Amino acid sequence: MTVWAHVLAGSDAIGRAATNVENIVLRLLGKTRQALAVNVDPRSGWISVVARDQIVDRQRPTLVTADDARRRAEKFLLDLAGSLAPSPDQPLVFMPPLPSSPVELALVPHASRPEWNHWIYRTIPQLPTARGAPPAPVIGSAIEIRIGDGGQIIGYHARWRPTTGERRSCEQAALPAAEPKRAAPRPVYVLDGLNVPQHYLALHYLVDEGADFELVSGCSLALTVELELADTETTTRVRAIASGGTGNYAYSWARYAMSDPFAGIEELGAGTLERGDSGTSSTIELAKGAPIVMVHVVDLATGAFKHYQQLVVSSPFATRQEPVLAELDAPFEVRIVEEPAE
Amino acid sequence: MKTIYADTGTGGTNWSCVARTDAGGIAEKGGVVLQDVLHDGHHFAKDIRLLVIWLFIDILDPAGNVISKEASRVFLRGSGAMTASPIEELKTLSISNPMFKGWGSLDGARESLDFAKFFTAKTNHAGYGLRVKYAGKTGQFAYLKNFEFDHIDVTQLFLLSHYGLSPPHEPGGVLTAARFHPMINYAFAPNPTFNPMLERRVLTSVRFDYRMQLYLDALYDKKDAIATNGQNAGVFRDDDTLDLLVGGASLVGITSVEDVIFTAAEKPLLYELTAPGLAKGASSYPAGPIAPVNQIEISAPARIMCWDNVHWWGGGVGKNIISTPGAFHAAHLHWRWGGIGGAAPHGSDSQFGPGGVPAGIRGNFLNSYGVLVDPRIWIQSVRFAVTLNDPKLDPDQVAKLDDLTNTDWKQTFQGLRASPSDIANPSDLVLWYSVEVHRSVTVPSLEQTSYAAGAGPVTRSFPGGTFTCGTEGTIFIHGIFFAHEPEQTSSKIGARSPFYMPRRASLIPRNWERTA
Repeated sequence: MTVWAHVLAGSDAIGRAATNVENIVLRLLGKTRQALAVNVDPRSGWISVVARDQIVDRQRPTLVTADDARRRAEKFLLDLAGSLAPSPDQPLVFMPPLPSSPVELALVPHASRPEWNHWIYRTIPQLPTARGAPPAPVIGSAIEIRIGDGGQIIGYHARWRPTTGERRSCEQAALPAAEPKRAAPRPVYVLDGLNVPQHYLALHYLVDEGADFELVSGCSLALTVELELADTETTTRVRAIASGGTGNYAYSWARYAMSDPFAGIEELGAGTLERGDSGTSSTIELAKGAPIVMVHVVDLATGAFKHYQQLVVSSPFATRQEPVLAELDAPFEVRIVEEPAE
Repeated sequence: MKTIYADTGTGGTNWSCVARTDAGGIAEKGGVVLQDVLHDGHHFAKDIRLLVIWLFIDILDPAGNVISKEASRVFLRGSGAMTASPIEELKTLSISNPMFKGWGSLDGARESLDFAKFFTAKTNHAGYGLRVKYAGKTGQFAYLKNFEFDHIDVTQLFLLSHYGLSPPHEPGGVLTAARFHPMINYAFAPNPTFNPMLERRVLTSVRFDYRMQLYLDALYDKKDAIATNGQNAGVFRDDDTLDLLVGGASLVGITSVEDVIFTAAEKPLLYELTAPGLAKGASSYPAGPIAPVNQIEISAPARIMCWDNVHWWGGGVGKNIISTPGAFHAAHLHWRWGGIGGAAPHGSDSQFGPGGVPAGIRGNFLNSYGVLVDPRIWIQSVRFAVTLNDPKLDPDQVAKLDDLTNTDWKQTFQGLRASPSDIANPSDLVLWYSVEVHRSVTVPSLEQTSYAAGAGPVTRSFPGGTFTCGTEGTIFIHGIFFAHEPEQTSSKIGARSPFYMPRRASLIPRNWERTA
């Protein structure tokens, strides 16, 4: 059986549409840029609209009922979907299909005063997995609407990367068998996050592992990556193991230091490739430290792509089996010596 | 002076905050104070600051014997013995998400491996940063006679990261969040006139004391409730092994997921608290002396168990208690992940796996699995407290920062009142967090024998010795991750109800110091 991967818009296309989308949002809300901070990120497409004076400064707003707040939020979403519908001039899908009911509708009190400030309506976008098949939620995405004084929309956040509307068919992976007494695996799409390189949304399964959940590949375009670590006296070996694709993987590595994260990304190349039964893995060797390690993986047979990054903390020892057993220091008398006065 | 910083423009991380400095834009005594920290319009904190750096010093006679001990405070500042740079704003720079041209063709695939397609050279997408560099002047420590160090250089870096699933924030890799790292990078400079043949002063540890007034929006489902913006906190210790009995019980539905993952929990905290988080790199320590008795047994004093993490959320009634595990709208502060994380998909990674200090210890009483520390300065003790926001400990109301810290860290809080106050109901709370980096740790050698069913005794040897670590590094690399997702609950995700183990709430003593 085949399922759909949904192609994400590139930053060039999003950038061209961003200002127009901002103007549409402002027009719908009847506000100016002076009244609302509105931003459509031209790289990710995430939308942020905040009436700061309402959320931070507004005193004793008159809030509508929960039902009214919900109606107003959903009407705004419908209006926005209509206004942002793809057209020849603006072909991107800025509004995802949404479930018919919110995941959450809640009251938020003011940060400094014991009074209600606004309602927040939150929902998770969904995407169709195949023709006639039920939609699957997109993990990592969310739509938030804040409803403030008199029922006005005072905030809108869309953690959603626009799609091009193009769907690519790919072979669905077998649904993992559910362990007894565990939740059944659930098909989901995964949006990796703001500023995380990603080309498309592919189907995964959310699998209940008892003590935790795991995302596993749900189709031939959904790659997953795990890192394995091994320490030597002076270095840490990091091995990336991709899965979910054909096994014919290529890798590209980079890192940046947590001690100086703005010094820049250091590219590390393809690593040492090793062909195993389940596919090609890649290993790099790093000086001891605590960097964020980043790796791009491509399935050379299908073009499937995955970016993965991870904080890697080296052991100070050559092995992770050294003992560290200590009694805490006994309480001691200490004399405080002050710095000289300035 | 208060300056608004916001990374809400192009390519931004959507964090915003206010930085407080003196009128000239230079950090006040103590360092930069961040206030009104929000992400995507969700409140995260009202006030976050480093209070003080403590130096703990041994005075040695010429033969190397300890003859007395001293402690000295260093306050970050831009005057006196230190200089400070203005706040440097480090913005997210280029990242692009190019269309995957030629999808399915080898050319398109190979092109995607090129980091330059996503990140501009010498820039990165690590996030948004505010940085101040403090330089100790030559002779900063001259008031400490024949001290091995001349001065200390410190960088205060608030790293605020993007919202997303990558890098993963927990072993499952399924919780979306952004990171807040109030990091301190430090390096001691040697004293060129230090004479090791004379009576001398040597550094035994350096301690960094934080005050963090986290504030998250409370979420209520009923308008008829009282609008309180109080906070709640919970503390947890992870399990280190997937206990077969408990795990099996979970599989047949006898117990819940919380019972499998944790060995101790207090959610929400019933009373104010002071507690250990790490003890010289380990997550537990002995309550008394230890010594090998023979080849089979050791003298095994009770173990004092440390907590692994603090969770913080906008409290309330009904549905406003976070789920555990899960905590979809909460601040998560994890300095260690228990071994049970090793069973999860990202559990083999060092972020959730063995960690930066030696692991695999079953010898007598300690386990250092999954500690998240800079390996250069891995011998760390973490202490934390959760208290009411007491005016006596509000740095904007007390006369001196000196009043907010003590050589015996917990005394600052335990001195407030004999018994800790109730904080189970949402309250105005403050998190106090302290990291002490030790120069060395000495451990005894011992052997431990275990008996496996159907097999003979198995003896493992653990050589003792003294381990040391460096005098420069970065603390708080794990950061605090802030998830603001709709809360969820199920028997598999975790319950949104109070949770106490191993003791029931009614059996938890009203003591300041409570261990896991």
